[in-house]
Amino acid sequence: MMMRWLKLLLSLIAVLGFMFTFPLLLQQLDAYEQIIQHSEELEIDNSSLFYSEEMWTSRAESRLKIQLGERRK
Amino acid sequence: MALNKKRSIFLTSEDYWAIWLGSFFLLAGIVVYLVVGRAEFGDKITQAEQIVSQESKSKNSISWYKANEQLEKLTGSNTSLGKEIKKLFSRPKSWKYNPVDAFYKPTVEPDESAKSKIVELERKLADLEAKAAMKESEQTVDVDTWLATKAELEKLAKETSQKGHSAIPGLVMLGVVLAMIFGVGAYFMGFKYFKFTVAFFGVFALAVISYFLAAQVDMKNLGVSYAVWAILIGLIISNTIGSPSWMKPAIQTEYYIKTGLVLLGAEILLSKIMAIGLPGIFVSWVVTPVVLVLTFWFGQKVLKIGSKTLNITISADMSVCGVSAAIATAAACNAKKEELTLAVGLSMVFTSIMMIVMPAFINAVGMPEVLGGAWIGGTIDATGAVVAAGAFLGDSALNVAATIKMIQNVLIGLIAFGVAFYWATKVEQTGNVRVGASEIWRRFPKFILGFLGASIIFSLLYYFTHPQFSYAFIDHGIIRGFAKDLRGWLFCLAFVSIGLSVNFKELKHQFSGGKPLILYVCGQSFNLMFTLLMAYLMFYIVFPEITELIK
Repeated sequence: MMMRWLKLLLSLIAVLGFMFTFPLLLQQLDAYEQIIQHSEELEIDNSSLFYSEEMWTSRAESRLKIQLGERRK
Repeated sequence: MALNKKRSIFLTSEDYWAIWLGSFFLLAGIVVYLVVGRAEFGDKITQAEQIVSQESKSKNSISWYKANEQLEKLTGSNTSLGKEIKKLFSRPKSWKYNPVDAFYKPTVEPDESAKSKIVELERKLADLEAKAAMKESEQTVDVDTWLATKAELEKLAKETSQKGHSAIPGLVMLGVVLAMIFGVGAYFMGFKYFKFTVAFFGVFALAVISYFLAAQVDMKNLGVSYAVWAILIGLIISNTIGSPSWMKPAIQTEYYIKTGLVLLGAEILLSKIMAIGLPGIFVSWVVTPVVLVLTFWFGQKVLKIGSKTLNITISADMSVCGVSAAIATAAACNAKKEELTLAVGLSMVFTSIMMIVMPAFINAVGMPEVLGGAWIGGTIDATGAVVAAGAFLGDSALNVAATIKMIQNVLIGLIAFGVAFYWATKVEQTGNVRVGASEIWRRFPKFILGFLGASIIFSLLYYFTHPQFSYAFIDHGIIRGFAKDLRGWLFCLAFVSIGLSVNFKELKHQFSGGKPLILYVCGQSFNLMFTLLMAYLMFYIVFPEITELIK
């Protein structure tokens, strides 16, 4: 039983270790840094899965509608 | 379970319960947003629309900007009831180093010097607006000054103050409400109501932890969503100390997934496919099915993957839109939990990699923004990563990428139906025996009808409602203010349940020989080439006039 709890503890330490060290490693990549910067400025949620979870899909749709609508006039 | 024998299948099957509960939630959404919300905001929207149309000739007056801004804010989720519902479904908020921030943050007012600056800017804005209100002075008011002052005011207010929040009451309330509602279905399916609700709180608590970890800023930036955390937490528990036996009645993956999918149906609005005209349809609706079918064929004939359900789940997840498509397809063909876990894991890893590599590559080779955006939108799985990668390239790329992804998302309704039908008629067929309609009906996953029904009903509602009301009460009311949040919670509960019932050994067995990885890599490589070719043909050869307008 003790071993099981020890395994759980070690797994949690590994998860926390990943959470706080991996992004630091990635920060050395210029492209990644710039993507993060843009996302923070524009309040993009990089982890959203479906279109309705991200506000920018609605904004992009409205902008394109205006741009394409002007063509039809 | 003995009770089940006396009850109709309409009350004992999780497929039907998914339809009943999904319909109940969506009907509640219609009442809250389309009836109550419209009564509150309907007149204000009409007034703002009138101002916009009156001022549309100049398009450069303060009242035109103010009316447009009002139209953006007058949405279903901003009505009194909409705000309360938003609070109920709220998740742990973003945090970086202090985990408490996820659940509680105090309100911070601006200090005295900032306050006086804010008052000064507000006075300046009011003066400009007063001048503009007098028709004769309208021409003399500098709209650019008004816009710059407004932007300065908003920036200052954002920098010097903090909006507080407290997520705990909402989370407790949500847990209680969901436990009670889902407990009813569980009772009819043969579970003890009290035992289910107690167990539900355990699974719900793990879902809250998943959302809490997903809200960590660095993880969010990397695109690691709640789905990954939910599976991981469940897996860690079940493979170390074991899933607690008291939690087992509420470990109901299909029950949550299928109800979530009926809600997802409402988010699939068919009219969205015309958002960017024909080029968008070709890039999203022609490439995607071709890639899906060829990848599935490659998996069966070349890689000889043992499980067809694993093959189609990975193929759909890679070619359509990642996790959401994987969930819908896996449910449609009754794939194993380990297979869905594997598909989700592959999608999340490759999404994070492609989000960084693709825009860097596009920039390095000097690819035009519109082409780059279309390429990103058609190939990266998750929407957030698509928008982030598009934003890196520029405004046009962001708009095209996000819209292409949205059009592709709409396809999952048809894909799920197609897969369910193919499985019921072909895959589950034994020998050369012809299958009758009743047998096909028996095999067919019924919740798909709820999924498609919701999509059709909401598409029609969206189409036939006045455009501004559709925007305010359907898109930014029922869908973005309610259904997507509830659906997110249900998927999260489902992923926790998957993790709690999957064994590492079984997962390892699914991955044997690395065939799923090879399938994903080969399929994605083909997807990358075909999407790029189609995007180039559509945006630069066949419809260059559209590209001219949006670049």
